[in-house]
Amino acid sequence: MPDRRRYSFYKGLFPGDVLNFSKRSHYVREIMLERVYPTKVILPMKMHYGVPAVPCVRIGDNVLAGQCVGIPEKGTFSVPVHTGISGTVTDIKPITLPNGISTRAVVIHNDMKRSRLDSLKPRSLMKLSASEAINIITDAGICGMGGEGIPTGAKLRRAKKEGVKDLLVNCLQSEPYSTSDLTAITEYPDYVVNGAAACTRTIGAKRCFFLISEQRKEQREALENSIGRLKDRFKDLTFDIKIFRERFPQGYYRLIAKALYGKSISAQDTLERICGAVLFNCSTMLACWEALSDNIPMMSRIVSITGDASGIHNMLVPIGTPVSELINSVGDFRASGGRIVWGNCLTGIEIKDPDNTPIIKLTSAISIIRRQVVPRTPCIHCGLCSECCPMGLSPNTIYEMLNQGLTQKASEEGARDCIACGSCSYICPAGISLTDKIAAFAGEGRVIEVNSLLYNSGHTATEGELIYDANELSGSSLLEDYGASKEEDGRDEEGRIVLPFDGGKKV
Amino acid sequence: MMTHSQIKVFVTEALLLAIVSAALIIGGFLWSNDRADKRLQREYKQKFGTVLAAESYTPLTGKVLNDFPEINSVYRGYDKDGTPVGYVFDMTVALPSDKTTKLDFRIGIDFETSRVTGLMCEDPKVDRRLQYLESTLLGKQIPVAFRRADTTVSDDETYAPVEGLKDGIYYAQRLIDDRSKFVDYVEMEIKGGKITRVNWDAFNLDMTTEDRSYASLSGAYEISGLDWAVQSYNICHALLKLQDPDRLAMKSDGTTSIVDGVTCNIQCFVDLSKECINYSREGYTKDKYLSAINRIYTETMGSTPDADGVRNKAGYIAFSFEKTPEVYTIYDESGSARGFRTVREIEAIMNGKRLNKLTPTPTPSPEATPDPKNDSRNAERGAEDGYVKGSSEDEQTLTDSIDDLPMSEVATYIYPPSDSYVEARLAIRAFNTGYKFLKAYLNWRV
Amino acid sequence: MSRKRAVKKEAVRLAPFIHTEKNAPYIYLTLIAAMVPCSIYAAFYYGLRAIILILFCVVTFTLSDLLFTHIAGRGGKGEYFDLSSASSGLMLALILPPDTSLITALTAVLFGSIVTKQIFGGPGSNLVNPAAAGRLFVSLVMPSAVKGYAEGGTEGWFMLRTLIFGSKSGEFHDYTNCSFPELITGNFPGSLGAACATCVLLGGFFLVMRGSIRLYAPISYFVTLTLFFPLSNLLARGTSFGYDGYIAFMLSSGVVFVAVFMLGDLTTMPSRFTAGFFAGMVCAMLTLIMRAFVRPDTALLAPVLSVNFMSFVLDFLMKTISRRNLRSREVDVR
Repeated sequence: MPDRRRYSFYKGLFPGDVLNFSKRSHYVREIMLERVYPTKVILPMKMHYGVPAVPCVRIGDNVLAGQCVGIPEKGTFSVPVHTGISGTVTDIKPITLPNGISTRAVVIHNDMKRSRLDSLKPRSLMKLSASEAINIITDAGICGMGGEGIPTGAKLRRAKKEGVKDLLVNCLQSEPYSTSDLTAITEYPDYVVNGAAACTRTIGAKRCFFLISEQRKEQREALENSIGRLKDRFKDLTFDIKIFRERFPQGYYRLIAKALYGKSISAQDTLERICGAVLFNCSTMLACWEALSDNIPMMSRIVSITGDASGIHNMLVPIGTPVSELINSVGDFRASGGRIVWGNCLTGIEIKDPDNTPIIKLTSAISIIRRQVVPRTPCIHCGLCSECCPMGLSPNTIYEMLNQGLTQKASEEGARDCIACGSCSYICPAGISLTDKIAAFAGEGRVIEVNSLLYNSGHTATEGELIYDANELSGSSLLEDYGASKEEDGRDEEGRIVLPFDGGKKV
Repeated sequence: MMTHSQIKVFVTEALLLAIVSAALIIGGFLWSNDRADKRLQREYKQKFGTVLAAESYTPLTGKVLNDFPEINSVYRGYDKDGTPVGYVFDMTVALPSDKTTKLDFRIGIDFETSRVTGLMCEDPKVDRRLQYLESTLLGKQIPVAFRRADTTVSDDETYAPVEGLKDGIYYAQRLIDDRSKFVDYVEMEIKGGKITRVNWDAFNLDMTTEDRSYASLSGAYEISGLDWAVQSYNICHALLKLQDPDRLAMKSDGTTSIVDGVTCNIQCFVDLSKECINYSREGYTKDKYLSAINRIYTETMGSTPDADGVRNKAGYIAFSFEKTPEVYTIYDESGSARGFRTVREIEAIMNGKRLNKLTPTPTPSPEATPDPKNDSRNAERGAEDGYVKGSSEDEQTLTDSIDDLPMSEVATYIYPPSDSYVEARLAIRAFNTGYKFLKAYLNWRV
Repeated sequence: MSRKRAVKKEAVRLAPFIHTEKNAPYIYLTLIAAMVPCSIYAAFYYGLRAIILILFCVVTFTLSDLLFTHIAGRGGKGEYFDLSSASSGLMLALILPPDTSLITALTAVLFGSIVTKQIFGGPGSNLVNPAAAGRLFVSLVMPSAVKGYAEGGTEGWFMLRTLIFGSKSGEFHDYTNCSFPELITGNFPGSLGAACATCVLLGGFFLVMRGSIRLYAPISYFVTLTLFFPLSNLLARGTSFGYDGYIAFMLSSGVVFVAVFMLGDLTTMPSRFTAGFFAGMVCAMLTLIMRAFVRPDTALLAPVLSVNFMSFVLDFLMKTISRRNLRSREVDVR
């Protein structure tokens, strides 16, 4: 494909002078996908935005891989939770995730039998209506895996309602050291493309764009090949690869909108409304296609174990795997004495208790970062933070205002727009924790989260209350019914979209 | 903080930077220095060519410069062959009495003769006004002082004689010869308390030829300027007018500029005249002197002058006592020569009695520097301008210092200008400062 | 909802766990390293006294800052020593005349350190460039102590007299007679380290490589100087409207040094493109105008200080303009 226009936003962290991304590229070639099979998993009932799921197993129950252990309450905005291993439920306990979410978690001990649900097999009949597809995706427990955590089904539904024209697949993993999404593309390009195409059809869009960094040639080629193979199946769709400059945080939707559509989106607006586009992470697309074609719920994901204090590993990890097991499987990290960061090193959260902190659906990376002493000096008014702020704020000014208690002025300065990307703290020569202060302010002032999807989350689940009869749902991944029994209904549905796949064909 | 490898990289880069820059600087210097020199010399020439014509100039440096706050910079000029031709001074001069009036001068001084080669004021207006001064001073030796119109030796002026002179004929001669085998002597006649006749001449140690005046007229003794005999006449005439050898304004180099037609060294004349005046005060007549010297010879040499044939046809002892310096030399505690005794003093010592004061005569030796503090003439130290007005005894008396230079060192006297006096005075101060600098810089002995 | 809010508050307690190696000491270290070529130039052309003068300025500036910080009670608390004092001292030394006496240098250092830096709140809070301020101070208050540059300053590498007594000779030369090689290599009487344009540019190149310079202002400075030089000529000489002496002016007057080390400065110059560009332009215009009326060193440095003063306001203004749209929309939403 000829070299085309390269998109980007203004400012941000440049790979050349700040993070030497080119140095990282040789790792990408080296990365192999590894697997980990943990001794236990801890499955929080809320890993997404929305209402927590409700455990549908009891302590002592035996579960199979792919089985649903937590299901949404009826009428709430939620996604189910599935286990990735077979074993015994040993505990259902409250847990607080590093990002502050307190929820119940189902602890399952591995019986090492690797027994799976029978339904986890390629779907025999691939003629699905749009709403069926959305339901499958919802019931597979898929939510935005790039970190946003919005249930994908809801997002698709909204996009369909808004009538968006473009579906954007975010392959821009620009966070330092993290390569999990890229590995997903390298390993399963057809799944990503198929997933994206299926979702594009589902929402009724006509164009499907893959957004990728100009430096990710390998992934680009993988995608190009895959598109070349698959585009005949999707003659009604236009595929394109949009090349972006390597820049952090390029993957943020507002920055993509600015780069691709030249439109700036305020915190209240959505990409769908302003640009007529919907943005999905490539890992999410992968998971969607797994759910649609293979009946596999979201029970595992690819996680990078990475950082300057460790090598770079990408592992296929069952959701809920304790971080410690993950890290132990790649080598002795404790000797290095690095910080363990849940997430990437710029926006992640340091964890102190890796044994009890699970990988959740949104965890794309576990970073092990060398402890750095950042020299703390007074602000030298260099303005580097304003220079790199992707939202065009002046972090130093805002920081000063917040320190003096001038919150009104700070919001006028745009403090509420902070996306907590960490660029300013990273770049600050004086070592001031700008992001900390400003993001805290931005977060506390934001009554309603960026995405208005939460409007309907009025219901609060009562803890300990088991709504569903666990036995009723026993041994189910919730995905069994689709395609077969509901096929008839789906055909009658108006405006349905038929996915033109041969049932059972492995793609 | 930076890691070790980062520090290593940084230091390496900084070193590389340093090496590259050092190479650039040195290379650039070699590349451009020739041009820079040429340009500099061109600029110097443009700037200093009017005051000192030279092919190249180099700035002088040294601690001495700090003692001369007025001097901004000094350059030595060279001709094509690299021989020094002179000095150029760039200075800002103010009078001690009036610090606010400052002028920037550039002056040029000849290398060998310390004569003025040029004067320029950076203020063009002042420079125009000082044109005449430059033309006056060109070729004149520094230091310079103004002379009052009435201090010149004019014929219609009468000067008060030295007090306490007794009538009679007095005589004094040197005990050693000059380097050309002449022994100077001065004969003076006092009548009515005034000097009425003075004769300055010298015997030839070689008894066959005549005295110096005769030798000069016959061409056997040549000096620059007029014949020595004429100069001798002129100076004697001047003394008759002035009545006091001090008024001859002898400078440190032994010349005077106030007597027209006298360019030779008059040190000897002044010393001997003063000796005569002293004798006159004490009534030590010529006869006494001659018998004393006769005795000195006899006692020193152990035989009579007549026997040795040192008495010339006129009956004087034409002999140089240079082989017996202990006779006439005054030694100080450390044993080094401090001065010379007069014949009368030597006689007194031979008589075993001491005179009231055994003050040494002013030293004829060019090595001794006059000490202004002990100099009795400093008693009437005057204003900076080089003259004072209305002292009680005389209407006008020459003061003995200008710009902290003893008057005796002043080589050139000029008439003060009718207008722009201050500017001219500043210019003169510039010259004198230059002189002082050169004196200090070159370790001149005066 | 209240729980959600609390959750959100917890959730955003994020921090980058990596930090750029370009911290404040590093930036100042880079600045110092960038001035190494100029220092070598000074040492090569002026010898031991240049080295002593540079070390003296660096040490006294640092000591003065430390002392004042101690007195003001700002020090301690594990704050890193950020080398800004050393870099300011070095920069100050480089723009002094080679035969500056130590007393004069000390005056400049104390002014730069105490008045322009410490009174405004310590390192990093200075509104104006301390080096430029100190230098300008001595040239305004003790004009005779820094009256210019001695011609033929190479008086020997071991000559130290001027450190005590200063120099009497010294003037601001007309460099139009200088040949291009002399100008580009700095082989002409000028300030201690700023005379050699090659060295300054080398340092500038290093800064650009290291990213410790902001180029908006320097570039607009040069452009403006170039565009309006004929006008300035007209003003300064009264007759000629043209580029006579342009190269000599650019290479000899220290504008390169000012552009690289003062206008490229991160601390005292505006951070935004528009503001930086404007500041560079204003600085150049002021220099060109003042050139005709005041001493060259004043004409060079006073504009720097004025745009330093201006930069804060300018930065704020530009920010306000750039955010105006967004704010009005926010108001609408409310």
